[in-house]
Amino acid sequence: MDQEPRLDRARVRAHEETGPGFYWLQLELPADYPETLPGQYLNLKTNEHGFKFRRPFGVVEFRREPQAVLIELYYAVVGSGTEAMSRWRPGDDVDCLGPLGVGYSVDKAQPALLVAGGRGAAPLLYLYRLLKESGHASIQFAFGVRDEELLFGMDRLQETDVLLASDNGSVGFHGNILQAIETERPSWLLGQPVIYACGPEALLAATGGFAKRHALQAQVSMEGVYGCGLGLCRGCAVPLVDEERFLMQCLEGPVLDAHRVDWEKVPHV
Amino acid sequence: MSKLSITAGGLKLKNPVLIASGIGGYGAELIPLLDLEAIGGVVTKTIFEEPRPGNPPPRIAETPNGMLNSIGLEGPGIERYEKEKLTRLEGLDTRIVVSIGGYGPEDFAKLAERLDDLDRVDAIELNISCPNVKEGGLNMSTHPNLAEEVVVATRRVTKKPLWAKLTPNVTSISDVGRACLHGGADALSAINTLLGMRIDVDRREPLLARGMGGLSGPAIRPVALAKCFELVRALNCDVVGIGGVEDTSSALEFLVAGCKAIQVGTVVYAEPQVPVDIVAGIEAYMDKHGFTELSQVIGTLKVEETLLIGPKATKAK
Ligand SMILES: Cc1cc2nc3c(=O)[nH]c(=O)nc-3n(C[C@H](O)[C@H](O)[C@H](O)COP(=O)(O)OP(=O)(O)OC[C@H]3O[C@@H](n4cnc5c(N)ncnc54)[C@H](O)[C@@H]3O)c2cc1C
Ligand SMILES: Cc1cc2nc3c(=O)[nH]c(=O)nc-3n(C[C@H](O)[C@H](O)[C@H](O)COP(=O)(O)O)c2cc1C
Ligand code: FES
Repeated sequence: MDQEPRLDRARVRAHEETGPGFYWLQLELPADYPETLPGQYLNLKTNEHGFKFRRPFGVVEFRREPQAVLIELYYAVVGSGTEAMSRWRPGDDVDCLGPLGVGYSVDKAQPALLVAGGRGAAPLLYLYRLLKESGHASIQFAFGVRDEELLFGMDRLQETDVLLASDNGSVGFHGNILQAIETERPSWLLGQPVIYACGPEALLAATGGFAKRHALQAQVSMEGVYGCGLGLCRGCAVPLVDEERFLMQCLEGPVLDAHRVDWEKVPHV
Repeated sequence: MSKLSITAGGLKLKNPVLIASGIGGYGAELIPLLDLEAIGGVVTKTIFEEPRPGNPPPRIAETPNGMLNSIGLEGPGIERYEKEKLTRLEGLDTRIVVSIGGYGPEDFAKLAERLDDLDRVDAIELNISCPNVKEGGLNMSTHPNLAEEVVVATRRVTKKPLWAKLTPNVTSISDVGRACLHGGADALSAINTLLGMRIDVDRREPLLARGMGGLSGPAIRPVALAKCFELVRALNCDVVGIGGVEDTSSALEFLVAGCKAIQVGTVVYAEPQVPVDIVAGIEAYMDKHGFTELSQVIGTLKVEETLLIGPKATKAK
């Protein structure tokens, strides 16, 4: 994507707590804001004083209005940056660097199997909408969470397309979402679907193994710590199979071909 | 803007604000976000002769008002640097200082000789704060003799201005600085990162794969300033101040302490336009105080000599 990143003041238009410690944020950007696709992200400044890394968030919705572009995010409060965000009010201005990264690259000919883990569902909700609108023949959404309470965005999905799983059995299949697909919807694996995944890196690594076992293509969206989001600091290195160099996920990703990643060398998977 | 112009370490700059090595990539990457022609120059990421993949992840961690990095001097090697990176800066009205690295004096000399032929290279910064395998993993800028050997070897092969970049991780930075000047360096760039560490207490693992890394950002500024002041005072030489510059007033601290120019590092990651803001801010400061040239700011710190701690002025050998 040859888009040039830009710095903008984004205006908070709406902001709601949709679950405990979980927020939906709607930002207003200038009308000429470049098209931002599923898997691409914005890098937001969450601190007013001193130095902190910007915090990256995948885009959940992108809409053009006559006077503005609207971008929506979903985020979980997990630390000081997201804690500060949760205090943003409608009307506040936010320092926004974007659009950044390379998103999902849709294979129109193959069925689409979207695999979401927790808050990782965010960019997949957007991908789902675009696929639906384009009349894509087969779209399935597999959504795994720790607990039912952590489900979100369900109103954006058609029930018949969705498979749920939870670690504690509070909703859907009791166990992980990949096991759920294998046991409850084996038919979803017919016809060579392409997997589009986003979630914790342990799930992405498991998705890589799963895709290999079933001989499927898989695009996964990584979730590392970003120092810059611009390919400058070289901090977000991903180890690759068969290549000595590291890939910078903030620039060449966050969406990567799961088969290129050397999962054993990815920290903490 | 000529009232901001200054010569630092043999290099004439339109203003004293540069981007530090390892921050703006090889320069061109920042163009969409920052007007490189509005600042004095860019120091490009340290380049080695051979490509280097860098260290395994995790390579960075946030720290209070700063960050740790152990990137491991990743880079494409001089060949590709020259063909693919340096050429993208052709025709830009800003200074390009090329940072080079190596494992011993010959490596530095080889690169410097090659860069000496290139018009786009305005000056060379010697990153002697990188590992020296030949000396058993020591760091060349912790040893005055080794540091001097590197400068001497490169001085022999180039007439371009040479800046030696020093590590703060030493007992006496002025001893190393003195050796570099003696070897023929035109300026001392100070400081590189401080050694630091963070621990994930749940996993009981360091946050960086390599355990420790380089600390940078506003958190290190007081240390950087003290080191720069020590160099200026002890050696009365051109110093390029680096470490935690985040805005106009922090840049001015280094200039008032006696640095001829400053480099902005870590904060550029969060706020890419800061170096340009600092240029405007310095000009506004000069207007406010009625200064017409930068020399009226540089080294104007008022001190009571008898009360100061730290090494006193001595002549470079
Ligand atoms: C491309 C991309 C897209 C993303 N999209 C989304 C999204 O749509 N929605 C969303 O909610 N998130 C998203 N994230 C993740 C989000 O960026 C992070 O959750 C956010 O940066 C956290 O910031 P923070 O300051 O709140 O937390 P931090 O304080 O930075 O902590 C982050 C996490 O790391 C842990 N941690 C940090 N330091 C330590 C330590 N020393 N020891 C142990 N644990 C530690 C914390 O417990 C916490 O879980 C995305 C990330 C990427 C890379
Ligand atoms: C991610 C990162 C990479 C760096 N890479 C280099 C490098 O290649 N060569 C070098 O001389 N200094 C490098 N530095 C050090 C900076 O140039 C600078 O000396 C240091 O960060 C202190 O300045 P700051 O606090 O403004 O960042 C790097 C710093 C960071 C944060
Ligand atoms: S976050 Fe800086 S290079 Fe990727």
